Amino acid sequence: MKKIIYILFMPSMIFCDIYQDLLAEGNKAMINEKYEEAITVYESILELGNENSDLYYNLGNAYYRLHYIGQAIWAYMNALRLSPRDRDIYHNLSVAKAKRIDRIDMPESVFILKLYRFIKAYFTIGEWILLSSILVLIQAIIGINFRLGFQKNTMLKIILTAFVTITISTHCIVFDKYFQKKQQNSGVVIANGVDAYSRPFYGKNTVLFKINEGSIVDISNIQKDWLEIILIDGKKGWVILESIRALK
Amino acid sequence: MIFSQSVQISVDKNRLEEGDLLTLSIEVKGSEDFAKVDLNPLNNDFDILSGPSQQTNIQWINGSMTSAKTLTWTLSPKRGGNLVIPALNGTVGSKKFQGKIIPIQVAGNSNTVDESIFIIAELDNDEVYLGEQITLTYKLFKQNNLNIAGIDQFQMPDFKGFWVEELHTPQRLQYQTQQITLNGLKYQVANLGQRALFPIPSDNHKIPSVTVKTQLEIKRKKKRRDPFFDPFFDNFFSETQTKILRSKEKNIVIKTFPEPRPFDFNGAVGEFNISANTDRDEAKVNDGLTLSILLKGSGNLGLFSLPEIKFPEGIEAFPPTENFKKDVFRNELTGSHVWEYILIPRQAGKITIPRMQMSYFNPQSSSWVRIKTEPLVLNILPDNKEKSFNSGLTKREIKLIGQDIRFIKTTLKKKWNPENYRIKISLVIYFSSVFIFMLPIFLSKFSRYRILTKEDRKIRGAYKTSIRLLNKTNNKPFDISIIALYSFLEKKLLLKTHNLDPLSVEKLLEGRVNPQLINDVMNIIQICDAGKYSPESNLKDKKIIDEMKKILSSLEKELK
Repeated sequence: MKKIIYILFMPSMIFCDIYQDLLAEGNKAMINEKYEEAITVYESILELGNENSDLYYNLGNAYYRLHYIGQAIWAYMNALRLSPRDRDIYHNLSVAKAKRIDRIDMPESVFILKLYRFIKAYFTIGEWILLSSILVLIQAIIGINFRLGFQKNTMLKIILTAFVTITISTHCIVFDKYFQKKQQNSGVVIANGVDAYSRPFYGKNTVLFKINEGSIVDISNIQKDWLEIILIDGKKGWVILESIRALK
Repeated sequence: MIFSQSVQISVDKNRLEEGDLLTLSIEVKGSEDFAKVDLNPLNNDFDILSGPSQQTNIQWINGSMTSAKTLTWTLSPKRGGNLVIPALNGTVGSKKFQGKIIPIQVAGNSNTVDESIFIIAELDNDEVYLGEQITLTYKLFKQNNLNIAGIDQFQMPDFKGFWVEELHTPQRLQYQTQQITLNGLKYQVANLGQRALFPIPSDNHKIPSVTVKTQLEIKRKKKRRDPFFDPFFDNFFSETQTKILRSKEKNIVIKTFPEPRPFDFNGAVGEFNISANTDRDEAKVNDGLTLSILLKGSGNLGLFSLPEIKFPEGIEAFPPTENFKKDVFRNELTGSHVWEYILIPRQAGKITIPRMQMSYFNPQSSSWVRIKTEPLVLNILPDNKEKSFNSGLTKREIKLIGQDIRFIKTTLKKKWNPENYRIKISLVIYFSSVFIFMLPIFLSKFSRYRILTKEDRKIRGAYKTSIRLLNKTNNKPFDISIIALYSFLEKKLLLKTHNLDPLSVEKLLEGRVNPQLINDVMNIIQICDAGKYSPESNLKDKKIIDEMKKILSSLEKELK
């Protein structure tokens, strides 16, 4: 058992020191107000396929200082994805969002839906899976107890029923989160005054609307160099690939 | 009175040579008005050099007046061969008329191009990108021995599909000092005009031909002169001949831009620089300042607009005043375009004017170039008499604008790729919970060891609980012994019934234990039943319990 765990976590143990050093280097550049340099270092860590919320948070700060509001929002959103309960990230994201030019307001939703969204967003998908697995483990222990018949009382039965209900609902949330992530690709606009066209090419084409950096959009279709985006208020249009940075 | 109104369309000749001119006249008789004619159908084959000129004739014949109103045009055929003047439609007063088709034969001598004088349209480049500059120069070539008496004012053609900037228009015919040799002949060259053309999106891009009417001096062969005329006059009035010169049409090939096109490309082609500055860095609230954006460079300046500037909240911007200066430098259109915005800050604090960026295409290197300005930070001081105003922001947003972001995190404690890590741990937990659940099955299968279930414990505990029952001091020993025996059997054999009687006990034990023991059991049951109701049974107390213990222990051994 120990061996399996060791093999599973080996790679991350070996490489994490290098990334930690890189991150420290980026932070140093940030403290010296060399934001461009810091961005290069942080982005290089991301390019190597590594992420954590601190990295995204610091990257967002660097972009914010250089007035790349769209990129900053992109970084903060990613940071929030990895640690959704961090107040600092919330604060910086709302400051960055206040600097946006376009304000597309989300339609108000029902209280129950809001509550559900809040609960869903409270943990990351990994945390939800972890929670579900722990609940399953507890049930397995209670179940084996029943099977061997050490204790049999109504209290334990009620507890088990409650656990089964909670476990099913956490798994439902996991699936909901997973499919939402799979179907719905979001992105952040990172350029100012992006024209959204009716068709994915230049030429005799109608500009449907203009969109500015920082807006969060859904990506519904991709065609070589072009993306079809849907705004929160339902507007649809084609923009050039370069102007949107997709959220993971 | 009868108004006999008639329209006659005629030409002065219908056989001519290329380079000759044609006069088209439309005569209207019996009307007060001139004809109104649509001459557009002529444009296919003819150039209209001059006209219309108007002429009115009034005649009295036998006391009745006839008036003729004539319009005349001078036409020049565009090509040789059989041409037609199509049926022309027009109106006279309120009446419509339609003319007839007039065939014109133009003797084509195009194979013998006149080499003594011609016009060419010179292009510096005929394969360009949209918006790239083409320099077009019309040049007149003439042989040395030919003299030009005069050149008519000519119209530059309509350049469809191009945006035209004038580079040079000569005031008079001026020959270049250097002569050019073509095909062994020496030519004098004059510049007739130079234009910078910028292709704009269109269906076709063609440089149309330009038509110039020239008067050439003709050296007359010595003729016998009329004695009436003094040869003296000849020196003053040398004879001239009108000649139409026409340049060839040229096609321009439009190259497509290399993909991918940057999203902030707004049509600029050439080479540009952009900069932005404000007249001061500090201002008070409600105190105006000027932001000027300077775009400098060469290319299709004026054909594209500046990317829209998104001014931050808390600052009011008025529509800009534009100032466009161009100068011609070595045939290239260079210049500077300045946009000046008046900004009025409405809120104290640091206000950042965002950077502006745009992409242009550099045709020299066939590459995209992105230029941008630096963001400008303005320090806005509070006004002494600050008034409340409605900025369109909610209170929360204003609060946020005043705030800055929090500092970076420097702990370096966070795990890398936490999601993968969490999912790996959960997988381990899932597998271990399944393993735990399956554990009893595995154990019994592979090691023959049965983990105690409730039944197991019941069977095992049967003897112990019965003995414990017997050991209790009780004043009804027979009752206790029989209960102990029955409960032992119930638990040992996992019976569901609680109503055992001697007969069913005998049946149960048959075959499981030897007949001797069955006999003993039946005996003791009988003794107990009898003893329950006999008064002197107290004497046998000890004996019956000991006997029952013996039987239970032997049953325990046999029933294993």
